[in-house]
Amino acid sequence: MSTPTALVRVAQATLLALWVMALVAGYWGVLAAPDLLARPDNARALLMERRYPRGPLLDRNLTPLAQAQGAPGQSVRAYAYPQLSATLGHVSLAYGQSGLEAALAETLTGRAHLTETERWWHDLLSTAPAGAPVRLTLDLPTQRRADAALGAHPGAVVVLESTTGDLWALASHPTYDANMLDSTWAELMNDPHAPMLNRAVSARYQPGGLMYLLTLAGALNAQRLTPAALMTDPVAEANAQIGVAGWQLACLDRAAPPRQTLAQALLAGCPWPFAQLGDALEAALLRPLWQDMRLFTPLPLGLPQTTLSAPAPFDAAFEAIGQGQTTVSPVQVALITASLAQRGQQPAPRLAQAWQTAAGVWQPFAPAEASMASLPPDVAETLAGLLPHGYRAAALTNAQGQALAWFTAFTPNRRFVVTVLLENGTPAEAEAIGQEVLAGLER
Amino acid sequence: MSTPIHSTRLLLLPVVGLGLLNFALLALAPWARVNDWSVPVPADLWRLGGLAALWLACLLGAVAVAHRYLPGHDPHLLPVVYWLCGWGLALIWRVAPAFAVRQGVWLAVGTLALLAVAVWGGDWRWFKRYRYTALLAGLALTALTLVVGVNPGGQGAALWLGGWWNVFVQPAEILKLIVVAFLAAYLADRREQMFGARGPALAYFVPLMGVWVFSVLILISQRDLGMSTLFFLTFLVMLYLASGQALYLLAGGGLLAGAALAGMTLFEVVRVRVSIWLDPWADPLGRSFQVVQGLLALAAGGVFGRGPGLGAPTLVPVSHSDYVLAVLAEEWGWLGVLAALTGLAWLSVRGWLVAVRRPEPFQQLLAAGFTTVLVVQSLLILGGVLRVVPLTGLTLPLLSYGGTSLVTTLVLFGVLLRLSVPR
Repeated sequence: MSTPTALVRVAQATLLALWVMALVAGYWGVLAAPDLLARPDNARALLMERRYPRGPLLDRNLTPLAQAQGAPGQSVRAYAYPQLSATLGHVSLAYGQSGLEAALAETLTGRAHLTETERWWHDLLSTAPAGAPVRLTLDLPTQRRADAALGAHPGAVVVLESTTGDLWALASHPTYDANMLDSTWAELMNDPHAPMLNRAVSARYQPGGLMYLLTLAGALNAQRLTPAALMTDPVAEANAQIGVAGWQLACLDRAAPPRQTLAQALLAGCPWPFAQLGDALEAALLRPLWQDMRLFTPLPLGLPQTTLSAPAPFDAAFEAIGQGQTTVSPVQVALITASLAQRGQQPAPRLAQAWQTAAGVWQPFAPAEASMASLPPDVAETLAGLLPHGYRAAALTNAQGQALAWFTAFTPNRRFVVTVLLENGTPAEAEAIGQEVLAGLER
Repeated sequence: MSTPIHSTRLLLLPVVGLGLLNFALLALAPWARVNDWSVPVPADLWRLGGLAALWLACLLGAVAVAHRYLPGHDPHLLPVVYWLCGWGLALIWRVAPAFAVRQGVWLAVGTLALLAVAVWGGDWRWFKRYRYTALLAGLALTALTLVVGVNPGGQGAALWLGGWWNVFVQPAEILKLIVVAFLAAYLADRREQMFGARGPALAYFVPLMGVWVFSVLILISQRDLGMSTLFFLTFLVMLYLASGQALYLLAGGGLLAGAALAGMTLFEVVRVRVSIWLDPWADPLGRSFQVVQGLLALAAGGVFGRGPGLGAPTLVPVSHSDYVLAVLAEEWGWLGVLAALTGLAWLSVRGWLVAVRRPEPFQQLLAAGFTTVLVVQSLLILGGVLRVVPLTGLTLPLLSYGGTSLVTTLVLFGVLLRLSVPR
């Protein structure tokens, strides 16, 4: 016969163990719950959207770019213009959220403006608020023109309204179709051309000849150079070559003569005079200018970016010709161009304009940053005067000699800026794409 | 003092009420989920109604038969058992309706088996005469899976026999009960010699160890490490109950630790499960996916739960079986988990009481052994899901999907029910 005492002890031990399990369940269900539910592999919030779909993403003319479709309880996200996938992002049960869908999720799902009591009530009843529409700054007709102009070139096109900082178009090629994300995920992950990368915002490139503009700005700002000298004083051996990573960097215009003014050397894309100028200005003058132009601060767009700190050591000569450690994104280049167009006032970029309340009222988003004076007005005007037809540049991007092509310009009324980046094209091709987009804006 | 039928009725009312309410809330879930009455009626809703009716019929039928043929039986057992069975049916329906229908069929089979054992099994003293025969049959059946074993899922450990007419039987579940009954019979007969005043007589331990080792080896060769752990722990507890000496528990604990270390050296599956247990966050989308998603389900349930049919427990793999606790926690919250654990604790207390009240050693050990199996199995799977111990792949008694598991658990309660009848 089993010892009653032993039996009682076993009973007590097992009941105690069950009680411990209850406490552990309480730990996971209550104490550890907030951290667990915030994990990216928790798809419940996205699953909830099948029942309570998020609001649509609209362009500035209220044309739907992304919206929920399907029967109640089976809602899925549909993207009307898949070429914008790298910017709009995606919403997937299996692969989470990205892009603006992720950045604006709280607003789109209606949770951003709930009180704590409302949140608690929704959690208790397992319900969710109605989604809120968000109006973006993007303009679908302009976006279509940018995508059509960029075509099969890998690269980016940015259209920026220089007075407000509104991004009217962000073309990034190659891109992907967010409607097909789940079925093409493995293919997209293994694609060496990185179609999910937003080349306009998230990628950083060697600026190359673009930096000649900032080097001139630095010299003018420090009064090491006058506007008159810029236009009239000749520089000897302006067409000399510079060795970079085993390659010889020469003028874009192969016919450029050895004696030119700095203005002529700028338009001919000659690196030597600017390397000399950078060397003379030194890091003490150039680095603060790079910082004032926001080259080392993240853009307030809510999209993933790689941010860099100022290079150390700062090799002024190579930084001055855009072949140092500083890299830029196409949106940053557009902002720099905008500051030239707007007498030195650089706007803060924005993609999200306003959200709509349940009562139908459009509430603007508070600006994440203010515009700031990045250059003295006279310096900006001097440089802007050199670029009536825009500015094209090239950059050496790797030791194999691959070159990038840039083009940036503003419309005659200076309202819009267009920036083009081609990963393996020529500056002439970049200019042609830019001019095509500009023509549409001028109309 | 209330008579058993009055006590049973007192428990029946809330059990029937809660059970039917559970099924009703599940039935309304498609509309509640979208807050829209225009959603068409799901085509399989009649099956849910059928399941609810089947469950009710099994509950009321079992109670009626027990009242007729088992006067004085424990009035708590049947209502609580069927409360958990009904809850399990509803949870399985939530995540895998096809499996819920199968579980309903097994519930009916298990109810018949429970009643047959309770009514015709007598006081089980006859088992002592046939203990070796039963044991050999159980071992042979389990060993058969080494040769012709299958897995209903098509891949994984081949622990089942069958596949004819889509019916699968897991012999290890049957062996579980046979080994416990054998141990109870053997220990009851040999107790004096084994644990006498002169110290343990090893000769009497040899056949016992042989039986136990052979059982465990079969299970290990099948990589059914959860069941082999359950066998080991049940064996230890029964040794302790028979001897009253904690030394056996301590020695067994040391052996278990040694076995775990050996298992980690010899078996990849053990290494993987231990590493997942220690750090599930290292590979949340790979090997630890089930564990992490289970914890997420617990977190999503909070205190009050999402509500029946309103959570997302289908995100947890195998949620109808190993991880049914995750389904319960997500939709019924921590309060639901407390309720289920209270039910299991309640059943274990009734089982211990049955053991204490039987005058004969074999019946004491039989009741205690079966209760031990119930509780230890529950603790092992609860511990695995809650990350207290590595996951073992056992079922949560009465709640998880598993035909053989449900039938053998109901047989276990049939024996307890019979033993609860005063002589």
